[in-house]
Amino acid sequence: MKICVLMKQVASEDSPLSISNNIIDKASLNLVTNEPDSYALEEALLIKEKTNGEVTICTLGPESSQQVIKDGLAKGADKAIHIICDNTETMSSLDIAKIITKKIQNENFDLIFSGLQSNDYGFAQLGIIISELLDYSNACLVMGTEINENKLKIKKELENGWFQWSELKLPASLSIQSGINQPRYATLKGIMSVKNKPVDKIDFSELGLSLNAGYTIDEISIPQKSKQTQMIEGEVDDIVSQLTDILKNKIKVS
Amino acid sequence: MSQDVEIKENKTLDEFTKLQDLSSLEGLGGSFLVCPLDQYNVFSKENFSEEQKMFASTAQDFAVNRIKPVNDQLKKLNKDLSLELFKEAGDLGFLGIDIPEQYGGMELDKTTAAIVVDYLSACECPSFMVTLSAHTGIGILPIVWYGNEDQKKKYLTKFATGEWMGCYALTEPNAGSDALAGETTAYLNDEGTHYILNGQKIYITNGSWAEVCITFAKVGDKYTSFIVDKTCEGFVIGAEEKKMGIKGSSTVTLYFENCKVPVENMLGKLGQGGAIAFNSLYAGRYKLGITTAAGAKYTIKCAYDFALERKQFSRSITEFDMLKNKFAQMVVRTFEAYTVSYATTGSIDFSISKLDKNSDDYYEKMQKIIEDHAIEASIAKIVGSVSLAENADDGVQIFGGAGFIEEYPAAQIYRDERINRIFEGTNEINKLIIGGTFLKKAILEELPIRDQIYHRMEDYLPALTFSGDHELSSEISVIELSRSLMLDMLHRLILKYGQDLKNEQWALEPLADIVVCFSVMQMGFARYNQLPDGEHKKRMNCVVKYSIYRNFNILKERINMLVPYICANSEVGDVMDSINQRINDLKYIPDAIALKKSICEELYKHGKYYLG
Ligand SMILES: Cc1cc2nc3c(=O)[nH]c(=O)nc-3n(C[C@H](O)[C@H](O)[C@H](O)COP(=O)(O)OP(=O)(O)OC[C@H]3O[C@@H](n4cnc5c(N)ncnc54)[C@H](O)[C@@H]3O)c2cc1C
Repeated sequence: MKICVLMKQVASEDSPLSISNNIIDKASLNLVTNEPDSYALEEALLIKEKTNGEVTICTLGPESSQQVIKDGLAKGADKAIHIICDNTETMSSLDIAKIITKKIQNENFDLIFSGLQSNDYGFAQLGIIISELLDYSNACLVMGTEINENKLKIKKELENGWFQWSELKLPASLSIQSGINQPRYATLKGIMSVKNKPVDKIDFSELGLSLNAGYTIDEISIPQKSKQTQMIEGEVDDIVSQLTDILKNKIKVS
Repeated sequence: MSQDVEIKENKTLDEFTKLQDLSSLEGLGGSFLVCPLDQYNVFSKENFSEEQKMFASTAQDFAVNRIKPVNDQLKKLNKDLSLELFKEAGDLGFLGIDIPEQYGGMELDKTTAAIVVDYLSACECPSFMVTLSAHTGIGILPIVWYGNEDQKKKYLTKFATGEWMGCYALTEPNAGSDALAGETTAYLNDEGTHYILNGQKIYITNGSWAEVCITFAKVGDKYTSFIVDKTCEGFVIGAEEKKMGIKGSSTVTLYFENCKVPVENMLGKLGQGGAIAFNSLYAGRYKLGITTAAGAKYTIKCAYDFALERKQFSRSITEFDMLKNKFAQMVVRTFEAYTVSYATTGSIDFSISKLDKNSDDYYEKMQKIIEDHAIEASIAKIVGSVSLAENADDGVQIFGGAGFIEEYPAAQIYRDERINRIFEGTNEINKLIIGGTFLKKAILEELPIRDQIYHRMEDYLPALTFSGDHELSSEISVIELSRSLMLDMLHRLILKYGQDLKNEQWALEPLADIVVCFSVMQMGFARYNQLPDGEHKKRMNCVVKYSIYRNFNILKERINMLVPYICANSEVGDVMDSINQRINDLKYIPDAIALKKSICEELYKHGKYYLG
């Protein structure tokens, strides 16, 4: 079983954010592995251990993304692909999917795993688009996997606490729901093995793709955290009817 | 000062340098005492390799995500949970860092061992750190260094995984600081198969959880070390002690009641017990320096988080300057503790890296290197434990009444911290080691201390190769003058007491304090000076300046105390005049309050200790 895990480096949640000219100051960010991706990696490693498989990490990002690769290799992935690109934040999910697909299309992965979403932009689209581009089966919000002689059974999260088991044909691309396993810690031995594991590095410009995000970013701003208070004024009956209206129709108390 | 004179001074130093080649002292214990600042480097947090950074991050991950959430359950003794976490630490490799690969360990450098305990300390659970450190330090090292092939195979493989826990039992009711006064005896039985041990060991960390105990007993008059399995007949574990702090760690008395220990469990040779006992403790000391530095760091965070939320007089108490003063000093102490501890591991590693790992006497030489760094190890232990103690005390104060209430974290930090100035050699014993080693290195000429004394008498403040407009040029002079003063004091003490100095504690304690302060200044400066320009260096500037300021003050105070005690009455005035003259000539008058203001401002920006 050959598994590819898509992983990304993102700013940690406690990073100081400073924005000027609609650009986030990257120098001040504390960069870490996107947390949802670590569940995808863990799921891949569990399958690898059961099926004697091989896990490849693939990341698209600047030189600093080496950290993601090293973390993943230290936890037990076998090798990695690093597509170097300095400004992924201006790219659309489609562009990113095209770049990655171009690089991995001949690797014949049986499974491609991605995290639920990236904690920075949160598009949650990559796995789906890649399955389309590569003509793989797809499932999102995957809560569990079972692999038996090349048959893949997955448990999917539906609405309202419902789950669904379904069978997928291989090859497949799955986005893994966070929290479905307990990601392991890197062992010291694992960390020491990193230097002997192959990393295939390529600059994304060498892939010869012409890209077009299809949208432009007008403004980036930090969300307002302030609470809003609405004063209701008038006679008591008035206030009551306004209040019930708000509770019923705006807040939708049921 | 005319140009001519300056050139002449430089030349004198050049000649001297050629004579001594002081830079070749790198990696020698105590080299900081004699290496002028322009020939001295230290290892520090900024020098971690990529791999070491990853070790740090996995240790921190485990600490924060696995241990910290269950911290509350380790506030009192919880054997099952402690052993479970201990085993997991073993699975990740944290217990096998000093153990050779063929016995399941990784045999990494001392800095890596330090890094792992540093970042594991992010669990903010001193009890667990004590459990773990007693195992990886004094529990394991005696067998790594002195064990034979069979012993290593049998014990180290299980120590590395955490399947077995180790402990080290040296202290006895009548043998604490005077460790070799132990009364436990051992004799060979008639069949020649077993040693029969009788006696007791008190306050033994991990004692009731460990499968194996390294202990010491007199065979006739020969102080000898043994590996005792818990299963040995006559091995009795006493009740758990009720302690002031680290209540989640096991501390018991172990009794040997005609305890039958197989002859093959003698560790090292008959009569080698003293060396084994002491050498194992050196390594524990600089690691304690690291865990206490880490404790000092988390104490800042804990106090800051509280202070930020606490409002009095309609504002956060962080806005009061008297609290800013405390916070600034907490940062400086933490910086100092980290600096001296990693300087120590780095210097040890530098020397070990030059050894041939395959040679038969590899471990013997490694130990010699660690022993050679006794002075640094004791400094790291003192600076770390005192920094944490003072931070914990300030922490309680910042919490106010809540600092006294168990529901808040400050009280526990305060209680847990206290042991660090007592075990691994009390701080008093460590001061004896510092003073004694300084004296010994001078007398045996292990370092060119006497040459330096001679040289400094000629030229109290030799010109160094730094450019005149170095941003810390006045600090450079302060440190070099301090070195001259320190050497001068040693010189006077040797003239007055000779070898007996080691028994003159009224004089030895201030001398040790001077060495400690001096080391903090020298190592702090070197750490700062070797950094590339940038934000990190800028942030460290005020910290290192204030650290030098405060240590220089303590050093001066100790000299004021020493001179009247050791000089003849008729001499005291002149000696003090000439010392004060030299100090005044420096025109060193930093704005200490401004420095502390900036340090605190930076701390408030980051919300936590910000120098690594
Ligand atoms: C929680 C805990 C865990 C411990 N774990 C272990 C362990 O795992 N293994 C182990 O073997 N021991 C352990 N100990 C024992 C510890 O190492 C000793 O308590 C310590 O070395 C001090 O010895 P003591 O208690 O006999 O004090 P003493 O030696 O009686 O000292 C009392 C005071 O006298 C001072 N003093 C003593 N001699 C001198 C001197 N020559 N000059 C100046 N001052 C002096 C000391 O500094 C101290 O202030 C532990 C202790 C505690 C409390």
